[in-house]
Amino acid sequence: MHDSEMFDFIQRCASRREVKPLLDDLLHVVSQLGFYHLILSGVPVRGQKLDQLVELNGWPEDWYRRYLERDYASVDSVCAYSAVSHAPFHWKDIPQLYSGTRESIRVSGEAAEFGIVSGFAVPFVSFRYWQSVVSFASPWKDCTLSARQKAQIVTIATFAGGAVEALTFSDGRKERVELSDRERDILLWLAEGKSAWEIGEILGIAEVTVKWHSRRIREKFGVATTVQAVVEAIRCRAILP
Amino acid sequence: MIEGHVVQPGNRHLYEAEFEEFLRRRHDYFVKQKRWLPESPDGREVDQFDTDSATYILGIEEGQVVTSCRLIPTSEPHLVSEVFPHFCEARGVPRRADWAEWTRTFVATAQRGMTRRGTLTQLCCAVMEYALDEGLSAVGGIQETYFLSQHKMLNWRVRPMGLSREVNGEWCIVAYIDVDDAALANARRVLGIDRSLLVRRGVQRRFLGTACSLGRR
Repeated sequence: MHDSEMFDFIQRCASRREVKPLLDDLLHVVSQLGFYHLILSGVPVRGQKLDQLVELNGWPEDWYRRYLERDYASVDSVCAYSAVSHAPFHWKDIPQLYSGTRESIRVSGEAAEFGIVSGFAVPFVSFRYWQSVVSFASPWKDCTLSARQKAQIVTIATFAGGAVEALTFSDGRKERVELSDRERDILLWLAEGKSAWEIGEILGIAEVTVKWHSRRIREKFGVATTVQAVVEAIRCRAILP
Repeated sequence: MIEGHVVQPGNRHLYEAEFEEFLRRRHDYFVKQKRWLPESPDGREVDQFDTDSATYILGIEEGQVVTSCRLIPTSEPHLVSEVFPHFCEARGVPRRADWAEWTRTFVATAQRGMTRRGTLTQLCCAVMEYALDEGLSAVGGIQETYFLSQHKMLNWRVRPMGLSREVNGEWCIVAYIDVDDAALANARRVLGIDRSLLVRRGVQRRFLGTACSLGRR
């Protein structure tokens, strides 16, 4: 692929107002690099359901359905490694620790039946999820990329991801939980194991006020306990572990 | 919410302690954590671009420097022109006084939670406000590809100068962001504010210099 086609794509990205044309355009561009399927999604971390996180779905319909029904996100090594890598990677370079499990090998075997054999993934920062990833799939056994092609696909993925971020936030949908500075401070102290009384002493506010804020935090995350609120906050990176 | 203090040679004496803290934090992050540079015996990270041409934005909250960055006119020697010119293969290295190189972005660990209204977004808003105030056209430079969607989350217009490439295991790209009223308005809308974040104390020099600021576009 010539670089100019990549820059033209980036320019078109900036003017997209809808997700579907962006997906079609992206699929068309990366098909020149040998990738015919892709998914752009928040990376599910333990227990999160994939369908709540997918932004661009360019997977074969049947495969996507099966993947959701059988909760393959919880065992697929591409998913698991996407949660820990900041750097782009070839699926084949995923460490054994992730790719060597029996379940993961089974998922890759089944994916092959749908023309998803090898692939390349590009993670990027997210403001709603643990992090996001664009994963490109090829029907070939080995989707070898030259250094230039690798640079092209990383650049393409980055701007496609950026366009999705821009679209998502500009139309106001999927507003994620926003904590006030006070709520965040309290959550950080709760994560440190401090009691409401102790936090009140540290922050110089009344214990009842701390409890009131804690309840607000739990309501915002839609959970029953403080522990769950801390976990949810880490999952979406409102606080870091 | 941070206060974005504009620090230059003319008012640096007002920020002795804060500036010292800023250099030590840069060392902790860019040298110790990221290993971009060799360790410095005095525990401060200073490079050849920390000259009198540099303007710093120090984000201060409750007396602490929680975030910071450095701006340099691209007409002067800067990181991209001296070290990464090959990253600008598509559009060439920008050399314009009204295009500022934005580098050494840092957010303190405790503030590094990634929320839309977080400290990084506050710094971005302060930088955009400063750039607009000073009549700049673009800000940017070499940055980690991983974080590029931060700018897009703010609905900023981002122009790549070339392809993303790997530098010591990290993927980076040279890209510049258009400076305009809409970009500042978008950042403020995300933060839910309609006021300035900048604080200018003491003597301030115009970023473009007198000659340029007279012929402001």
